[in-house]
Amino acid sequence: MKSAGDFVRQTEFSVNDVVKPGFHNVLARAEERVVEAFTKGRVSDKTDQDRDVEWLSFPVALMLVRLMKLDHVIRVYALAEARRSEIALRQERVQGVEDEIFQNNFSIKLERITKNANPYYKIGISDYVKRAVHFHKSEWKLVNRIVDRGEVTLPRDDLIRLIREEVQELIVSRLQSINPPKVPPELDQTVKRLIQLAPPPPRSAYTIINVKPEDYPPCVREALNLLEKGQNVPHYGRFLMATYLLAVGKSVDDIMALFPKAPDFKASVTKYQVEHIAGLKGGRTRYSVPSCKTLQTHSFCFKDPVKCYEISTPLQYPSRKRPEEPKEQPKKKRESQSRSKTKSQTEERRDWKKTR
Amino acid sequence: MMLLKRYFKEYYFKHSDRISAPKNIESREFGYFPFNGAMVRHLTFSDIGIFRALLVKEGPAGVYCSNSEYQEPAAEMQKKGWIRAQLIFDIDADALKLPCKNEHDLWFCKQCGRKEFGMRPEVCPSCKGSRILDMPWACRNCIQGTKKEVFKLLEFLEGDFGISRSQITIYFSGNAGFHIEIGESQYDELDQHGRSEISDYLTAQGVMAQTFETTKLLPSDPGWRGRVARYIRDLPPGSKPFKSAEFEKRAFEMASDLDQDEMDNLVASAVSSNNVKIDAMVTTDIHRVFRMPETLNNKTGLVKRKCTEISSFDPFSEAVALPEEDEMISLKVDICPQISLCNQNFGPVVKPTAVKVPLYLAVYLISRGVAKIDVPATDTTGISQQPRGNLASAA
Repeated sequence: MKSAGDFVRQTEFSVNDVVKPGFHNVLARAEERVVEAFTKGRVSDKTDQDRDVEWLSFPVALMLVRLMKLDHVIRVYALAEARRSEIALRQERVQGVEDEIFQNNFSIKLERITKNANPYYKIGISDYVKRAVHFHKSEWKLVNRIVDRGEVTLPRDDLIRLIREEVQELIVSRLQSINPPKVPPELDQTVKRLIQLAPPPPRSAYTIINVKPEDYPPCVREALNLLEKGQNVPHYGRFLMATYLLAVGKSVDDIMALFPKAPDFKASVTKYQVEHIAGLKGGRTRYSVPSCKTLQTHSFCFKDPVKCYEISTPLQYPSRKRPEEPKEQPKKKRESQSRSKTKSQTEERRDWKKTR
Repeated sequence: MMLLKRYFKEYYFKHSDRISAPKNIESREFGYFPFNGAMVRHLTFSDIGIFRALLVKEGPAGVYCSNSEYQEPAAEMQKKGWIRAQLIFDIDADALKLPCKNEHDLWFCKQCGRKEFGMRPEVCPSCKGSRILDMPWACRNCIQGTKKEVFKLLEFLEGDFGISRSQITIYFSGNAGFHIEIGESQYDELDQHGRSEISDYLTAQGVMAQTFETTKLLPSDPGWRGRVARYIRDLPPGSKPFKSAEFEKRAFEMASDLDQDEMDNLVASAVSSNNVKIDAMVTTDIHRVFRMPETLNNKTGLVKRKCTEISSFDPFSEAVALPEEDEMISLKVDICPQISLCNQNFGPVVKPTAVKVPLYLAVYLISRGVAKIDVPATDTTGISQQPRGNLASAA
């Protein structure tokens, strides 16, 4: 990315050049990059066809995305470009390319260990954690990694997967820092076409949804049950209940009515807290429903193995993808379990054994 | 309340010089809890002397400082501009659920005022009310239990997280456990999500049994792999679900023979005997103000005190704020498990009793919510040792 940037600077390419006849290919490829991001979720790599067009079209595509003035599209595009980088890197067999990318673009210190021709990388725990928290699969949790003296040991493919996240964040921050430039009017049509193709915004963490009490997720039901019995509900349970009920359209007064049986109930304090969460008091920020991961950290997850399948926030409950009767299956032996593991886990284990 | 405030003011008058300035004091948020009124937050000080003077003047119930540094520490939360935060941990006896809880924990009915030993009932046997508060207590056994957790945490911090011992400071919290604060480290810039991962690592939240499913698992492995391997190695012969007694064969059984439930149960047992029972809220919240060292805890009247030698640290004598005060106070004690402060034994008290006790003990009992000032005093039978003059030599 750095060398592509240097190349763009050397060519003294400017926004107004985009509509000039000589740059027609660049504009077309830039539009194609954005279209690929919206339709396939991944930008293809055409460096082999025409390196100059491929490199010049990237900043033009960034500009097009910025001109769309749709915030959610920034992340969609950044992820698609990051996926392109990930695939290119996986195919890259030149040793040490990761070192260069991490150290030159992201200032991350890496230590490469090669044992039995298998590359491993050691990176600082905080560098790992900052990136891995964005992944939902358990295999990325620090507790399931090889951790020793402040460092995490990662197989090459996992390191590249971390780079993807980093590239996405870098593109997001680049995009957010660009002020939409004044551009030749010829570009308006291109931007309009792209806006029509843009995906809809994701469901907000505060979205009002119609849910009957019997369809509340088990964590919310647990909090309500404890309150009903007059038992103490831990902080995160209360916070979850308030944010969730606000999200399903309940009022502050509706929520207040649930609390009087709490052993430490004080009307004025509870009202202030609920109003604060609703964004009506204090910093005026409306709080979103905590993620399942956060609730697990605070021991307030009461997961239903079927209905909570593959959800990352209580707002997604019940999940649409339900596995069939997982509890009824006969006991599995190790071999069959191994097959259910993700590729990277299995590879990590195999590679780790080889390094002994 | 007046007695507590007088005691707290006197402590700050005599000992406020013990309260040190945190690193980068001008970037920290300070706060305090007055005895009457709401928490005062979003204060800033560039000179610890001015803050000490405030404590002497106010004699607050709780004194706090952020572990975070901010660009504008006095601004409202959204505008503070978070820079970094020291990594902190809280280990509290109540979370350990030790068997001794059944002997000393109390409950209190807010409706009729009844206080009893034991676990909280769903409804009060007297008034049938359901607004019942838990009143957890901490005994010497509880403190021993929390020390064990601190030792486990130290092993994780040094071995897994690469934090040198010189960067770790341990404090008795002033109530029922310990606070562990880390000096400058690579973890200072982690946000709440990153800190959740640290917390989850220590508690093993989200651990997958598959992580340990390899014939190459070795007791000398780093991190959780090694911990689980050593747990399996140390299980006595005949322990379920293993057929073999040797570690190598057990590792092979894990990798090939055990079914999912057996594997899950095994890892769950290994985890529960090795994880650290920290309070995740404290570690993950980067916008909190944290009790300052050498200030008083209003739940006990004891000091949050640095432990230079944690294995021998005795909070019930070393964290007493004003042990030298020999004033005797008349109290009416509702109920109280057996306790010992400054080598002075007291209790158990099972029914309301009038007693006369030294000031620091009176402060402890009132702060714990089991006693009130009683005028005049009629009895000193609650005390098994002699009043103040003999305390130094008491057993």
